[in-house]
Amino acid sequence: MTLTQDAAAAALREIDAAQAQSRALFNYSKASPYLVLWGTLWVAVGVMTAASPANTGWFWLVADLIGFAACIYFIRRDRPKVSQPRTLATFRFVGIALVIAGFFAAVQALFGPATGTQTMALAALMVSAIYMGMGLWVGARYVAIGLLLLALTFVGVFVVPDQAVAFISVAGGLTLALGGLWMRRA
Amino acid sequence: MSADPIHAPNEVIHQSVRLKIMSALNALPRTESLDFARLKAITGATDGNLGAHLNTLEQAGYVKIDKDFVGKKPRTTAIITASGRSAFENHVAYLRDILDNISSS
Repeated sequence: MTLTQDAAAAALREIDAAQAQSRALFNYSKASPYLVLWGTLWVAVGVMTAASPANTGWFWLVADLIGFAACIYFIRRDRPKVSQPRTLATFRFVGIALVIAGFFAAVQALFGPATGTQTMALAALMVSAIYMGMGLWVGARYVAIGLLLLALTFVGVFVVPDQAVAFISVAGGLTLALGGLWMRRA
Repeated sequence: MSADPIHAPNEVIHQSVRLKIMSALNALPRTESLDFARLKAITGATDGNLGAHLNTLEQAGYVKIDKDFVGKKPRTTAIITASGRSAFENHVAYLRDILDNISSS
């Protein structure tokens, strides 16, 4: 059997499409626990913030520590077993977390004191931008989740400004958690 | 020194559904598998059709199929073998050679 140029080109296109879809599905399945984890934490903080707005900062500190520890556990559990040692995977995650925290702190330092709503909106917009950017490389579901989070952030700030922190936490958290479940079912 | 060109397609792999299965499995890290439902989504094949093509690939030694239970639900997963990866890469090289030869002639 000999193939024509057209048949070879068509086969290579099929290969590219199947590989892209496979990578996206694999990535979704690996990302799902992280979205469910952080979404649940956001919802919990939102509910507690609605009950006790003065303690929002403490709630986020505890939630971030829990999320950080759980992410390290997931990363060490799910790392590629042959190619990546546990410590390297952990260092990479810590590095990414430091970059994000550093960027967040730098923005706050440059733009001056921020209200709770502005701080919450900035965090949500960062997460939204990260997901939309990832989605352009990995898969459309990230883009959808990022876009919804972006829209909900603006709804929180402009439609319910008095409850924006709690609203963005709960609605954004639900978006992340349900998005994670959506990815797991992909 | 370049490798010898491959002069024929791999007829086990070249069939459309099997090509998609091998492409999907080859795109994953070496220790990772894909379950039946995701392979169905990628190939667009029916259950019976996909099962038959997986068996063909397993008999050729290109994939390894595992069956287990998640709770009470049966789960079938497939992972590409080392010889499957090698055969797939040779087949892709053959396809690229066809295009390269025509574009350089």
